[in-house]
Amino acid sequence: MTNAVSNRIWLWVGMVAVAAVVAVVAVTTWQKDNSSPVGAPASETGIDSEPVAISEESSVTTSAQSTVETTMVAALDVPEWYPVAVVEALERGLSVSPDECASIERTICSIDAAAQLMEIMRPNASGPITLADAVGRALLYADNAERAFEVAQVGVAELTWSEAAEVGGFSADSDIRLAPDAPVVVVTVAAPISNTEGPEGAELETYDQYTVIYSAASHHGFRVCMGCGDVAVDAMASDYVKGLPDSSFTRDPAEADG
Amino acid sequence: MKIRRLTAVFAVVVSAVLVTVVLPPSASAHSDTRYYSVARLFQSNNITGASAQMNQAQMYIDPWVGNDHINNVLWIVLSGSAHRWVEMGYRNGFDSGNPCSCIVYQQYRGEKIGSNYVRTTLLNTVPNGANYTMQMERVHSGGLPSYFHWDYRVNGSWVGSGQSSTLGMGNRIDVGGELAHGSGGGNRSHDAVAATFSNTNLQHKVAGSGFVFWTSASTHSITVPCGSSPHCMNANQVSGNRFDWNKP
Repeated sequence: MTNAVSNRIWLWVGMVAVAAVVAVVAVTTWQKDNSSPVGAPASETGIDSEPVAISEESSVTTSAQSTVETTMVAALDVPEWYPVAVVEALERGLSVSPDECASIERTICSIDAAAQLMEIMRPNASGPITLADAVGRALLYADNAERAFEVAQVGVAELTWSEAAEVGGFSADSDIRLAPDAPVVVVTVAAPISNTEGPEGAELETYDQYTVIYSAASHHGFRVCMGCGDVAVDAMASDYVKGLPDSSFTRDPAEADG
Repeated sequence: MKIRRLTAVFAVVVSAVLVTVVLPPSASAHSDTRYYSVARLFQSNNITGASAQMNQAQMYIDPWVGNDHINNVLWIVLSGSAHRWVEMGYRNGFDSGNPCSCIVYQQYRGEKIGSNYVRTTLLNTVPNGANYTMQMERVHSGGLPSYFHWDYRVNGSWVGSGQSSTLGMGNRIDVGGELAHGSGGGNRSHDAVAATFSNTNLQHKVAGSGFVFWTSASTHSITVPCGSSPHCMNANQVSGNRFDWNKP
């Protein structure tokens, strides 16, 4: 065999080896890309979405036979609509002992704890909250709800959670139950409200307006700020709620539609 | 002429006195109808955390009127003033944030750090008699050395962070019951039942230290005598950590 022929054979062998490596890498990457994304937006059906396997790691033994203590994170069954921040906090919590978990900042220590935390944000199968729904519910916070329905002015905005935080001057990180791009409905009501919560000795204060923020997916108002004007007040409340049946906003749970 | 002037001045003065004394206060005025039964710890402006085992217990007012609510709460009063505080616990009362816009039992956190009071619903739930550990801790806000916020945890799990501010540490911890009922309720019963906290599970944290039980604190009291305070309820320990409240 001449040197020329031999070189050509080795060249082919090398090219085949490189092609094989490239193929293995490509297949691996494709498999990763097609796994279920964590924290993906809620599906149409929302609460019935399939759980997502997060990760599964195990102890790694090095060539020097020393065991490297790595995290044992079981496959986590959490709904796909959970925000990434919640899933990451849960992963951190499960990677350490319960005692250690309790000492770590911004950590959720169990799947049950995550589920409890997310309960208020659960997507509502009957559809997202309407602006009239939100305004009607927010009006009920006024000290005189009946009068507020008639004469109060409101400001209403459909925003993302991060936009609401920017408008309101608070940190979106303060509540990781909502992803930054999660839709919320912000309602500011210009009507008196008294704060009857607080420790002994705190003044009983009356504010001239308040803001309620709703999770658009769940119908829940999860944040109330008294005295806040997160959205400029520019419309009559009655313009939003007229035409809706009175029972939509009843205080009597027996008559409520929720 | 002089007599007329004096008469006019006298009439004005008398009118002013009558307006002040006889007329009722403004209709917008609110009477304070909050009552408390708490365990209390005083520290000298160095409280950076508090923890208590709270019972997710039945709490009720009979009947409910207006924005009545009854709470099981852990408070930290900040900077020597009752007008700035952080709190977390259970609340039963009207809440328009709930899908039913009704009276609802919930786990919550709240704070008055700036000029506004903010309350966040953590979970709508039902009384189950189980104990849950509520904890609040003051921590540095990232990248802002002079700014702090409070982290809130339930059973060790982080459930939220509050607003960043330069406010100081706390000087008082209260844990126990709060009853708030609106005016106009008539001759209502104020019997409100709350299983509040376990005396043996109250912890606090001061700057530079970890959480320690209240029994090691220099000053503490488990019950605040009502005395002449108009806002205090007598708490009668029924059994274990269960208290019945009776407005004096």
